[in-house]
Amino acid sequence: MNFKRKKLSFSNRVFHIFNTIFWIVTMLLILYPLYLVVIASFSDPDAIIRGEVLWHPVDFSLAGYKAVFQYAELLNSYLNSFIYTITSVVLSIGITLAAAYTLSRPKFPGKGPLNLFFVFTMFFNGGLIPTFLVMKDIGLYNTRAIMILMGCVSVWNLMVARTFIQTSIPQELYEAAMLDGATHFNYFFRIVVPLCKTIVAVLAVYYGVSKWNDYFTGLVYIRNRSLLPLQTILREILATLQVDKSGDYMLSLADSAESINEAMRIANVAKYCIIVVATGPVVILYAFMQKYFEKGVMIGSLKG
Amino acid sequence: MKKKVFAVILTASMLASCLSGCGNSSGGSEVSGSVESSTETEGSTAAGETGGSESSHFNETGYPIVKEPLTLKVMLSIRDVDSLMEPNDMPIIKELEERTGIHIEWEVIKGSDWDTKLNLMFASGDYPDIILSANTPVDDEEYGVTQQLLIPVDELTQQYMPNYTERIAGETDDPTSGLVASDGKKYSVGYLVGQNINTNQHFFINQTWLDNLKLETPSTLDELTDVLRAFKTGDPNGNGTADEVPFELGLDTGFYSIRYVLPLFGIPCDTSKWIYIDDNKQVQLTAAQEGFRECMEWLNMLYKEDMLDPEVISQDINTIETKLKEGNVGFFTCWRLTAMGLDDGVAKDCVLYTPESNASLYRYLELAKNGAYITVGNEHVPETMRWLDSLLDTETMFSLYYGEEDSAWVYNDENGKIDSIITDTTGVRDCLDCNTLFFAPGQYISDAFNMSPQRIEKTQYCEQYEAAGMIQKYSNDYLRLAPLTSDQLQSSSLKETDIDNAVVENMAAFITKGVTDDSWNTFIKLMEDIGTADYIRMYQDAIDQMDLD
Repeated sequence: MNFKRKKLSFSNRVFHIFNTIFWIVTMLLILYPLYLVVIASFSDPDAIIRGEVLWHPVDFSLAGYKAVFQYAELLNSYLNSFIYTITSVVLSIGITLAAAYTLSRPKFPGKGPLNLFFVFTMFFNGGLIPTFLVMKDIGLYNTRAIMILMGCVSVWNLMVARTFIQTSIPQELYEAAMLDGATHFNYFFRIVVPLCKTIVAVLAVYYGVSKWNDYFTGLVYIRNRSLLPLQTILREILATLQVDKSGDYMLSLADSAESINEAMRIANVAKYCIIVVATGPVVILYAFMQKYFEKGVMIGSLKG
Repeated sequence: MKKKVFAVILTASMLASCLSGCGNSSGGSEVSGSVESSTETEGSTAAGETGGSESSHFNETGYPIVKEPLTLKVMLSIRDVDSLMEPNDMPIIKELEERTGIHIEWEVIKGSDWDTKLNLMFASGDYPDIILSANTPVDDEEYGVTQQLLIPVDELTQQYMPNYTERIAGETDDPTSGLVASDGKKYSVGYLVGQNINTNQHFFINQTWLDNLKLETPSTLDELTDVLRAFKTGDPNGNGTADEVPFELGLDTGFYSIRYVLPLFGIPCDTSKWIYIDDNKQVQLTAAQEGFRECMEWLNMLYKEDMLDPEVISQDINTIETKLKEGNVGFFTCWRLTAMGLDDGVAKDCVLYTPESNASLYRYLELAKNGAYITVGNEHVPETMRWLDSLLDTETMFSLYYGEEDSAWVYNDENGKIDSIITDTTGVRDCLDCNTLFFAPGQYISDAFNMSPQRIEKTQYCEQYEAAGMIQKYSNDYLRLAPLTSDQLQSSSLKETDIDNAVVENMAAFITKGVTDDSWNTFIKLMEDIGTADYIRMYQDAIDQMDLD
């Protein structure tokens, strides 16, 4: 095939070159911190404290990773996080789509008050202690169920899904389906859901990432350490860095100061390893979902 | 019309919720208030029950403590760095359970989560029987005095805890005097690891470098300055470059910071506050003293002549420790040399430096801090007290702290006291470590235990400084024990943050840019504007109330 490349004028070419350079530099600036995190996680702790780690790992050492993975509970919590995230995402998408479909029906009785009811909870919240008391009374305290159910439905995402269904699925389609004898369930499962692939991907990413990053629910509601998710465990490992070295605290370590100092030293490199371990799956997920994400992120913004 | 009314109501309710959002803590105590009244009735019927069943189940002395198995719930706090096995799997705990007959359900909480979990626990009404909190604070003013969720233990310890009361009686001063709350009662059983020390502020100078340059140990501040200058210019480490750091220091980095240099100028600076108690029992503002200005001028001079680490303003505690580990330092402040990981660094070269007699160091009082609390939900108080006392039986106590006999500690053949032989404290521990209830005041611990080398090191330093008369007369620790109410503490903590920020910022400016009369006067004025006068008066009234000898 013969391409006839249009010859760009001189000014356009100059612009093109500078533009490309500008964006490459910006990209490198943005990528550098991520790169630094990865190389620092493979470096020796003392080198990091001295500030020598800039372009490549200094004194290659796996000490940080060893410290992180030696934490017996870490692998178990990794598994827990996977379970909670996947179950939670499936459940969330199911509920959100179903509710969004219902709220998008023009003739649904009680739609107004129901909408108001949902939106109200976006602005007002009982607070930590009342919520905690309610969860305790229901019997969800210290169970896997609460890790999955907490934050299961986000009203914001619900509204986004509802708007999507309202705008991209024309009413005529519904009428045509009704004429052919479909029920709401038929229409929902066979027509609406396949058309909502984009929004499903968006919801999966939003819910998935927020559930993966959630450390607080585990911190507050879980007592049994084998049920804790990854982020709560990582937070504990990280907490050693913030040890307050003022007088009173030091005296409690009268004998074991050496191991404390060693722990703090390793924590300097462990924090980079923690970032890699915790965000690795999420970064990979984003890479695969990017196609849908690009399309889906603007969905909530368009009207009509 | 309808829309308008609705809009007005919505706005009003949003405003109301904004305001109620501010009073989160009162919301919490409202809930706990209603819960509290229900548990109070529970508590009184429970006390009646235990009164009846006590005689049949409970042994006043000897083991086992109970005739029928009893389960108690304990909420234990551990440090973030601790890695412990499940407490009920620990050999010493199993042995304790067999001996006492009491089974414990442990809830182990890390220090960083402690505040959240404690507040939630009190708010939810699901109280454990015992709270074991050696290294984390429990606000006994709020939960004990105000909300009455913790019970006072004064009489209970007298009646049921012979180990505890004997050890207190064996000391010249009562080490539990710091546990008294503002209503005059004690809400906690004390925790004390006796060290026989009276200060934590020590100075160290590099003897090897002094020898290399054939210099005498300096005895005045001016001589010290000359020595530091010689360290910089004379190349004492003999490598041909002037890379020595004569004086290693940080801005506000714990032991290696300016707080530990101010004593050289007669100011016994506290480790966390910016006030101190002078020898006339008057509370003074550290930053307003002439000695503070002299210190700033001296440090500025050192900074300009490159005798101070150029990174003094910015470096953090980890960076300083790394430099001390490398050992290229002439002079620094610290709390001890051994068992700090500095053995290949400064520890092999440095010795204690005794300052001039006008120095004034912060006196450390060996007082018990909070250890164990009993909540109002406990239905077996006498059994609980006896169980706590059993934790203090000498062999049990040391086993809980260090590990099992023969592997972690042994009886010394020569003097019959206990030696700790455990060396590797990394990895998963099979004992509660320093999180257990440990009560060993000075006299008791020197009779029962052979102090490890790092503790003996400090005792020697402290004796030297005491003999030179340079430790303050009235300890700054009294500031922490002062009988302030919960409200006073809350209002002063905001001021303390302001004072701390102002002082640290200005110290940085004074060291790098120097002190002029103008900048000093501006600084003094700033301190006054923050409201230090009221803050000092509040503490002065409290100190006067304490009637220090």
